[in-house]
Amino acid sequence: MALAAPAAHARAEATYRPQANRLGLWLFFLSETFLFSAMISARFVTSGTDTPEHLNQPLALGITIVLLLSSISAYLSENAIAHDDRAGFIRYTRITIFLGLVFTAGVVLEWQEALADFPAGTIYGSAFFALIGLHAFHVVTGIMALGVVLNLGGKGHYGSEDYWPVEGTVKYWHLVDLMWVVIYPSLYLF
Amino acid sequence: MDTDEQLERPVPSSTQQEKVRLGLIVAAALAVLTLIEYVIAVGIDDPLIWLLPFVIAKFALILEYFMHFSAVLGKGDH
Amino acid sequence: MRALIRAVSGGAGGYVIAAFVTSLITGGSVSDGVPVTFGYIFALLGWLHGIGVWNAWAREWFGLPPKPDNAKGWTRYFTFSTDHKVIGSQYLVTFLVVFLVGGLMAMVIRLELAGTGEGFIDADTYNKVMSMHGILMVAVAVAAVLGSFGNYLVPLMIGADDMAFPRINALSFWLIPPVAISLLSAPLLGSFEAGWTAYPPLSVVAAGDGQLLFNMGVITFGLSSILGGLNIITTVATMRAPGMTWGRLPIFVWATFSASLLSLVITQFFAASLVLIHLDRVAGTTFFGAAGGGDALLYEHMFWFYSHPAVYIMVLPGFGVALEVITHFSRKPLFAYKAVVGAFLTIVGLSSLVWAHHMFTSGMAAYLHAPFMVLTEAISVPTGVIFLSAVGTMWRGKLWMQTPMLLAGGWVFNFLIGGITGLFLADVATDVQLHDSYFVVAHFHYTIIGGSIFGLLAAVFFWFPKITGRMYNETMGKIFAVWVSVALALVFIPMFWVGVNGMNRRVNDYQQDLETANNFISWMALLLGLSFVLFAVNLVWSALRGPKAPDNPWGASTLEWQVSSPPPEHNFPLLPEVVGHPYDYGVPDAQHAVVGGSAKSED
Ligand code: HEM
Ligand SMILES: [Cu+2]
Repeated sequence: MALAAPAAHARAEATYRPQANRLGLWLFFLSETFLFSAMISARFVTSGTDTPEHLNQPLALGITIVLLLSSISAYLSENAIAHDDRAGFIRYTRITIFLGLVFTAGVVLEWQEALADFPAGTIYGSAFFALIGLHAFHVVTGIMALGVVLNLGGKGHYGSEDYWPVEGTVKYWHLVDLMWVVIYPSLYLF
Repeated sequence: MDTDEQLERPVPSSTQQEKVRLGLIVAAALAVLTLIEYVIAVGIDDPLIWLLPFVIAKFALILEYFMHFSAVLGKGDH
Repeated sequence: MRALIRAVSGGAGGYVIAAFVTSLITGGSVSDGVPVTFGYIFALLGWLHGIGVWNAWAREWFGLPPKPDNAKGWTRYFTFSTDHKVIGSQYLVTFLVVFLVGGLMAMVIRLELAGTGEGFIDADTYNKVMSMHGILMVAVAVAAVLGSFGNYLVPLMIGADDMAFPRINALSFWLIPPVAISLLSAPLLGSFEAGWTAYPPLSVVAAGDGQLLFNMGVITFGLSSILGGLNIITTVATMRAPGMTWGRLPIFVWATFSASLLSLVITQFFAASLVLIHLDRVAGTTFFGAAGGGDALLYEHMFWFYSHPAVYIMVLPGFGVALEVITHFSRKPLFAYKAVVGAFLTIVGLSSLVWAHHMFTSGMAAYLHAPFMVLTEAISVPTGVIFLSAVGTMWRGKLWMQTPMLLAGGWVFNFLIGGITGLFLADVATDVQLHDSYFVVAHFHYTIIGGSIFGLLAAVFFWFPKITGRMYNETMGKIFAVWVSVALALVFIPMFWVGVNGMNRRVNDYQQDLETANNFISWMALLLGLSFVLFAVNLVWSALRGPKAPDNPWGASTLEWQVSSPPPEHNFPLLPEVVGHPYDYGVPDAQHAVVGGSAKSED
């Protein structure tokens, strides 16, 4: 198995233990949810639902759709490896990474505009940069993790019997989308 | 230790194609919800109350169909 | 040792390079906010890389075979070892050292307060020493029992060979030394002076950039607590030996499990609040700056949403230790086991709903006072249940007054005082008078020392023979137990009195008429400090020279005592099978577990 480690003590992790791995990952998600909740509540406590005039709504909607598309391709890539479709796995993971990069580029573009319209020194700007920054950090780490599984999957790791790293990474990617489902309306729409 | 637990892994209950279709349907639903959200937000002042159901629906769809939340509770496939 | 040297040089190198490069890019000085931030992040990465995260773990991400450090003997304590017993011992020694360092700072504080006026140190330095003492001791209380005994004992007690995620476990320990180093090196950047609570606006506007190290160090510490909590929950949920049902878990396991639930989720609020402080300091945001539309009360809410439940992260493991010791040394089944478990879980739920009792005088909306007062007082109910269980277990038991039992008895007494004085603070009418006075200081020292540190001390003596394979010196132990209990009362009971008489906390001066009392407290604090010299001598000497300990010196029933002292590498030669309740003392033919008798082999 891919994660097999020779050290005697690493064996607990090396054995395929879907229950423990899944539970651990969900606990981590639960914890992350609290982090995002803390930051989102900071936004509402300090600036309510106020939004500035200059928000670039079309761009935000665009990157939201991009992130959604990347979630589908991530779903398809996990589904592919679960059925031993390695070519499909590689294709969809590549698409996911590409869409993730497009999303990140969108954020960079948006920040450049935002810095001029509502700098971090304004109260909406504070929430805007902190929240989107936190989210973008998760996007970037998600892209890195996808890169790792893409590389290993390309080298023949994983298969229908053993694709926990893919499953975990894809779930993390969905978490990133899940958080955006709340952040997007909190910052742009409400 | 391994044999025991590997036996517990659920047998895939649907084919790859069925899953692809399911995923696409969910994604389409998410896209539609997002667009409605956007339209409401642009059209109405103070749309918080109107948007919340959409946020919750999207949240639940992703949690269940993309992240297989119920699997962690021990039921559901996958 | 090589790993440690690599880690230190990785950390130092990471810091210097990152801080230097960023300062070139931003065009400022290396000690500005942004370079320090990046310096810290890369120092942390360099440190982890050096200690073995790369070799033992990250290589796999690139398809390379991992190269774990298989050091044997004492050097394995300085490597990225994934053995939960090694990690537990690493935690224990680290936090005992931090505890002693924090204790020295308390001596400095008391030296200054021994007389009125500015005596030993000036007001500025006083704030810095007091802040450092606070955060170090809070860290000790949060992690000393949970990190060390939690890691060491939970797998043993549930009959598992290790934690669910051994490498995450090693990671959560190796995140700790950078925290200690960054906090202790904060004086190089001008220290931090906003107390362990780091309230803005002071933490944002204070000149000392040591606040930056405080923020990042504490966030790192939070990460370690979260990962540790995650690991313990998963371990208890998925790795119990056959027959180890939830209803048969030793009470210490339940206690760590409950504390882990709390630390898993709420720690994020402390992390988030410090991230915001950090952004306000270095990135020009204005979350807490009233001038830019921010709100300092937001910080207090976020902070206490963590820090009140955190006091239960501190004491729940202590409760577990005390109940464990009391039942073994009373030779009676634990009284009201199920009610105690219920109480633990009720505390987990309730404790995250009471935070604003720290904010009665802060100017928050007045309609919040009553609900927070009532909910806070409601917490005394589950706490009372735990207390009753301790007393009920001792009631008519055959008490065996060894050192651990003496300390567990001290726990009962001290925690009672802490809990009762909490009620005066929970009551809005009295708290308006008592807030920010020495009454609060005495209250929380009674709860934390009484609830958490006494748990730690009892645990150290109780499991010393198991962990070291040697016996501590009983006479010295008993003298220490009595000495520390008496000295504690002599220091902190007068503090209630000076608090009621108007002495402010966190100020290096006070009214003339309180000088005699304070002078007395300072001498007694010295007495308390000295008791720990005896403690240290006993432990160090016994660990090196003490007589060999038998496998089960206390004749205790739980699983960790059924293996050799110290336990073998994978804990149990054969998978144990649990057949009964852990504390059926006095029940004829009762048995908790069959060790080595079951046919199924582990590997
Ligand atoms: C029955 C239980 C308890 C009650 C009703 C209670 C109540 C309170 C209240 C109302 C305050 C705020 C006082 C003020 O600042 O004006 C307070 C402060 C404090 N309590 Fe408790 N408490 C209880 C148990 C504990 C426990 C178990 C711990 C720790 C292990 C603890 C640790 C603290 C700390 C550290 C503070 C001061 C925090 C600071 O301002 O730095 N308390 N307590
Ligand atoms: Cu509190």
